Amino acid sequence: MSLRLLGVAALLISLTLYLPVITLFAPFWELELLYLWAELFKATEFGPALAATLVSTLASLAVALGLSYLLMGALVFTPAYQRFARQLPLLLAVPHLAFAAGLYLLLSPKGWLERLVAPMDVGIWVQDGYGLSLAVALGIKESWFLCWMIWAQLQQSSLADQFLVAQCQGYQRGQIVRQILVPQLLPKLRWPLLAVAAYSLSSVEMAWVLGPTHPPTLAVLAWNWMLDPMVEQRDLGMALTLLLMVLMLALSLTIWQLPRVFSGIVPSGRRRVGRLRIGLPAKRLLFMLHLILGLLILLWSFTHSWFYPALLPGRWSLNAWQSLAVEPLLNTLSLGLVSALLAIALVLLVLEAGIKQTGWILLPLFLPVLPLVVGQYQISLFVGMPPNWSAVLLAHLLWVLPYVYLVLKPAYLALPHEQLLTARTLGLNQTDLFMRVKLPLLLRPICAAFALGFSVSLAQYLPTIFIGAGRVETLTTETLSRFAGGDKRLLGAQAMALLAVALLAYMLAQRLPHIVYAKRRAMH
Amino acid sequence: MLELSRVEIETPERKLFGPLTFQIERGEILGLQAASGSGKSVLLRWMLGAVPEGLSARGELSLDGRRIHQLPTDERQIGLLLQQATLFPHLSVAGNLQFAMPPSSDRAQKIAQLLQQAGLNGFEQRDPATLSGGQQARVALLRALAAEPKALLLDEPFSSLDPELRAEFRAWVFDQISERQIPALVVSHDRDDLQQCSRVLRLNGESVDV
Repeated sequence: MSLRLLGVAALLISLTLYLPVITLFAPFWELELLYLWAELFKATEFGPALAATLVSTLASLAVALGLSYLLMGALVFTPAYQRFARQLPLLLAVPHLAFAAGLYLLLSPKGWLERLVAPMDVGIWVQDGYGLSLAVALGIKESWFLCWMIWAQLQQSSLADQFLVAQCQGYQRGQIVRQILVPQLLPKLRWPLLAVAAYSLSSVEMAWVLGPTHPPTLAVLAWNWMLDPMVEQRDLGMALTLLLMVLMLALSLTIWQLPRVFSGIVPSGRRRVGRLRIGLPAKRLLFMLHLILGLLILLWSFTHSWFYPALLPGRWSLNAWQSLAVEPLLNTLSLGLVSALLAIALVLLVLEAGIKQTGWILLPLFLPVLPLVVGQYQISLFVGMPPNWSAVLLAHLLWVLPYVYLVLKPAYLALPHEQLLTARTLGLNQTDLFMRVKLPLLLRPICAAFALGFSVSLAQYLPTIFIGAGRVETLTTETLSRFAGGDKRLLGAQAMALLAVALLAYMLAQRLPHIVYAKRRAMH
Repeated sequence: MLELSRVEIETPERKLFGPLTFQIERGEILGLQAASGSGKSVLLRWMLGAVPEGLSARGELSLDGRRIHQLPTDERQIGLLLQQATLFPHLSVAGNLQFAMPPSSDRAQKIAQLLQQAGLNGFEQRDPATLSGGQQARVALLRALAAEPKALLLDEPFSSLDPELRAEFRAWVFDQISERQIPALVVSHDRDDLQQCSRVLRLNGESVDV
């Protein structure tokens, strides 16, 4: 079969996987929405949940943008900048849930920070009513994604020269970032910002750990209601998922207008005199935070007893580790491995088939998770798919595919035309060209796409629990049930396992090009 | 006067050049000729305080008697003109010039005058992307000079222009530099460009031939 035919087949398979996007509104047809809206607004939880959702989503966007601005302002086009860019995939590989669990162990009442300042009562809390701690955690986590997106944009343009020219004209880094980089980058960052907004708006797992509880954010509330045995409550949950989509639409319109804020600015010509250097200390602080969170998770996983206000465990034990089940680990590894490899194959075949209109692959990133999962559930009921490993795999692919595409498409388009043309003149047909030239040249981005795809699959909670009907356990679903159980030792062990698997996949993907092409420096 | 003293630049594997010592007087246009990969663009970047990662550099740089080699790029007061015009695409032609000019109440008037001198009368609100290569190059030089630099570095500034436009633009650039009496260093491969310079240095490994 020719590559073109395989590409068309891959396109059709991808489209089938995307049916929940296409039939996004189908589950709501049978609902009496007007009645449900009225009921929703009467519900006592609704107002505070809406406020917490809006505050946490908008604040997380502000934190993510602010941190990206600070970090890129301090680092962009400096020698440290390339080093930072190399560290970004590692930071991205840290699962949201492991990060949230670490923050919980640090900031919760009787957490490590409170122990550090004891006997002072500083009232440090997670799960505040407005979701501010959730916003900060989401903001930090998503800032790495934005920095990565910014880095990708900076690779493709003449911005480095523009930056140098502006420096020669007496401007400082911060001013150049604001006046030259931001106006040019912001229009290209609208899609990544939409993805950040969609994740922040609909995150259930992070909101569960760090967000408010009585009532929780809208996404968690909708999830709780949809699990309710009463039909009326489940319908209310469905109406809430529709509201999440309306909120996402409003956020999308706002984000789309964001570049206009900077478009009409006339340069004043003023050069700043003093220097404010907070970008590099902020980066060091954030790296240190990640390290502390990792250590805390590790310490708790080996704890037997750790009484307040001791800074270290009193007695050590392997009990938490011994209580871990093997099946969730195997499910996580197999789902991550197969979904990432399948997504890589589908994306490469679609790209190789020369299909131009492929932007739709990114759609799931810009939509709230919950309505999509509901759509997946409806389709699996319609086709009679049992809630098993294969169903969960197909569900994961809806999110793995766009992230893999995000990495592979620019790399595929950047393949050197001269080398491809030379190979054709040497007599290679399309299949040979793909297998013998393109695939080897794409090894590094394929490995990066694998690491990202694997970590996306690893992080899926709602699709796993909903489509698998709770029967397919993964490290993520287990971590959340350990969190719900309230035992920090079990939470530590489970979160550590989650973190370790994510980092191992990342390191493997990072090392593979070095191993395969040990004597080809340009291929690393 | 722009003075370089005992400048050496190395990659981890080899020495690119040095030690170099030379001066450029006010109003003088010094041509710099060297083979590809010999490090002439790296030398320019060192003079600007922007040496690429992985290179190590030593030496001193003074401008009008003030040692500037440890200052950040934005405090050196050295202007830069690159092969590509590198105009800021989100700003108009006037916006690009305003960016470079120190704040003053008569900026609009000054911009109109500058554009008129460059044969770009009425181009204030034009999108840089709609200008020809020669027009973009003129705006880029006006922008570099509008910041009132005390020295100017030009990295292959004429190589993207066609031969007729190149001679005309070169003459105009050199006039502008002479008028302002600032030292300028022009990196070029082109014999005609170099012949028009006051002096020419040939970067030759460890030494400089004048």
